[in-house]
Amino acid sequence: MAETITQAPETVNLTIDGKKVTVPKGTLLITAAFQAGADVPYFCHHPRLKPAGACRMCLVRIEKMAKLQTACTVPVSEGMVVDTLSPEVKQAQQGILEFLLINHPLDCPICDRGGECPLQNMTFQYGPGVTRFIDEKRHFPKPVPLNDYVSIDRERCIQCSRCTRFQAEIAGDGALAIESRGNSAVIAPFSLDGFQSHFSGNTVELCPVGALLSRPYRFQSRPWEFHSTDSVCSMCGVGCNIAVQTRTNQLMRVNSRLNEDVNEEWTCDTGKFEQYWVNSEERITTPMIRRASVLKPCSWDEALTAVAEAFSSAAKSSSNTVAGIGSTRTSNEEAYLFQRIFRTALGSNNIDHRMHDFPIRPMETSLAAIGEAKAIVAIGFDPKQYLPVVWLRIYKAISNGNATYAHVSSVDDPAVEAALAVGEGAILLTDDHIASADLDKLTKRAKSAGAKINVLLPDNNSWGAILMGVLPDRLPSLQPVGNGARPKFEALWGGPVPDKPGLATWDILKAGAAGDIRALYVLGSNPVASFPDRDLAASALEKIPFVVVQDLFLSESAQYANVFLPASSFIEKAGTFTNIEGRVQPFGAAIRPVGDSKPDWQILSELYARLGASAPFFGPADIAREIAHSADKNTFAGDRR
Amino acid sequence: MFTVEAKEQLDNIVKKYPTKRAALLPALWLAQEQYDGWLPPEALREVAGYLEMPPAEVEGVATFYTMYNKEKIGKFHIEVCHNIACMVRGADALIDQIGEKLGIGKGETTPDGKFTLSGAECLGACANAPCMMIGAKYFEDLTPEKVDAIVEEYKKK
Repeated sequence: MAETITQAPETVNLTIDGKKVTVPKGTLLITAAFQAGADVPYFCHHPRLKPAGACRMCLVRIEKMAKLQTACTVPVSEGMVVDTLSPEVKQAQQGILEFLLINHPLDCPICDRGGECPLQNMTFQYGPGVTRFIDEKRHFPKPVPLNDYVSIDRERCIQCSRCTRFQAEIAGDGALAIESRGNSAVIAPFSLDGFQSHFSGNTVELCPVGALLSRPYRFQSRPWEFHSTDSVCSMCGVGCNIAVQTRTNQLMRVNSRLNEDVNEEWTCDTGKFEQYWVNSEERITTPMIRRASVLKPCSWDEALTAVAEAFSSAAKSSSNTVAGIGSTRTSNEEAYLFQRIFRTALGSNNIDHRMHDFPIRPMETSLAAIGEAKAIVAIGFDPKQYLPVVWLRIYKAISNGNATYAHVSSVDDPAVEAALAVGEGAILLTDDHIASADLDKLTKRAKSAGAKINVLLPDNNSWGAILMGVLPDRLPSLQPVGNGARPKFEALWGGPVPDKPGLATWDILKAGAAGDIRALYVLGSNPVASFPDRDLAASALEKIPFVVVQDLFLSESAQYANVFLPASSFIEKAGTFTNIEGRVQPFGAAIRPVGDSKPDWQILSELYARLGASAPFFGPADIAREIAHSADKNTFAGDRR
Repeated sequence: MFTVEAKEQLDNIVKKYPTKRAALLPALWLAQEQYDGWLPPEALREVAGYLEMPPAEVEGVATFYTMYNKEKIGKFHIEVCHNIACMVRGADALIDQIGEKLGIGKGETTPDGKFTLSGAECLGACANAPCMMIGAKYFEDLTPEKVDAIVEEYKKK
């Protein structure tokens, strides 16, 4: 067998400020300088964007070169001797900053960026301290809204082109460009369209001055006033890592957080701007109980006692008359506790979270692997709309040079065949609406071609609900209720677990409409609005004598509730979500529960105590410990459909 | 909208370049001809679609160059050079003279939409200063009399 010879990567040796460094060939000088511990100031440089040399801030002296050079555009070469500290370089830095500040309004006291602004910081550290410019500064109308989320203050812009490059190179839509030239140059979207992009919010974070601004956050807070908590986005299955930034127990801003495997450092606009519902005045924050056909506020004790009594008396008559419809919004810990209560305290497998049947199949590649694919076809859904940050991976594969991409409606589209012809490196993406027959057909073709299929589930904790066993026929870790894993859970949970599969959502609703369900627990879902047959859902909830709805808002389903339990949002509690890849990611509590609301796990734990649990769970970590104890580590390895 | 002939012309222009986007400047010239001498946003979108470029980028390029007109202009675009050679040979007076004759100032269009008067940077005919262009046609060695006659002639067109 021939030995594989691994070639050592070519390296380059150079000296920066008297310090010798060795870096891979092709490294930009600015990167090598950081590695050598030099502090080179910059605005336009960004490691994920192509070099632009637009701001001139990173000027350094390279021996034997006639003029100062921008470190962000020069690749290193062997024997280079670089100086970043001499008076000549300092003078250049001061000069560039003096130029950049000629037209900058210096309205830092009322600028959202003030306090976390690269221009402010660089001026503090490298600026001349004085200006010779005493004339009128350039003026533009401001702020100009570019879309629903982002506005621009053109007077502050220093034309670094980070935003235009992001849109062209990462988002792939080229939605922003520099218009006009010289002193009149401005950042602008196409005049007829406005800033049409699913990723416009990233430019706000990339902007090294306060030119691109978040409209919802404008004038809301100073950056040093809020507290930043590591969290995970709740808006879709990608599970982008975010920083939830809060003040006075309210959400101020969502920023992205670095995770190379998931979102790199990006978010979509939904994740960044559409999570202010946590601050909504319309949230219900006190428990309510129906009296004389009207929901009236009540105490937690009253509400939970009513729920416990209704469910235990129904279960006592027959465990088939109780049912629970969970959701993809709750954390893993909450989903786990929900099914444990149903299976042990109520003796019922009538528990589900699905609004329609779909193939349960783990992704065959990682998210990051999509960015390395050679051919990608999205079948039956548009990733840009549905799981936007997946699109960034797709575009990475496209822009890396070789990947073909098509978005088609049918598995029989010729584009699917063309991708399969590529063989290894081809990735087919589809969603939970693909027909089982189609998926089977596709699987056979993909297997023989060496291509991979990723069935992408939509919601932020779709996989959590599945893997925690919020399914009528599956225990946690996808263990069938009838098989040998059951005794393990019975031992762990200290009681018998029914061995017959329970009712799926659609069967629960049918049985409800037929009068066979006496008590229904709706946890975080809203069947009356999201079940495909809304009439069936409404008539079931109408007919079922006792309905408890646990949610943040008075949803369509809550109109039928006998008891409403106000839940806290994901930023008010800690826990874990499982993303489309099966990656379990923790999120922390950023604020206290709003009003009298409680985290879902706490409500369930308190209910469990009333249903006879010997020892309640005192926190998500308690529950997580038990999950870890019971989990099957192989659940996500390979096809377990 | 581009005519069928113009689209053919565009196809031939694109063939001369290694990539579609490389043909942007000549494509914009053609569009300007097709859209009555200026580039409304619709024209930019059409060019962007044809060259498979983001319209924002096409607009960025169109606004970079002053010789692409971003506002509606008259049927006849009079551009009088006012750079140094023409200036010392009386260009400013000629501009005033034409403006008075048409009742408009520099950068303005007559109400009937027939004439737009602009000052232009060097038109490259300094040896025969002062000079001007109407559309693509050059007029050189201008005198007040010559200018009068030319404007009268164009008024009849």
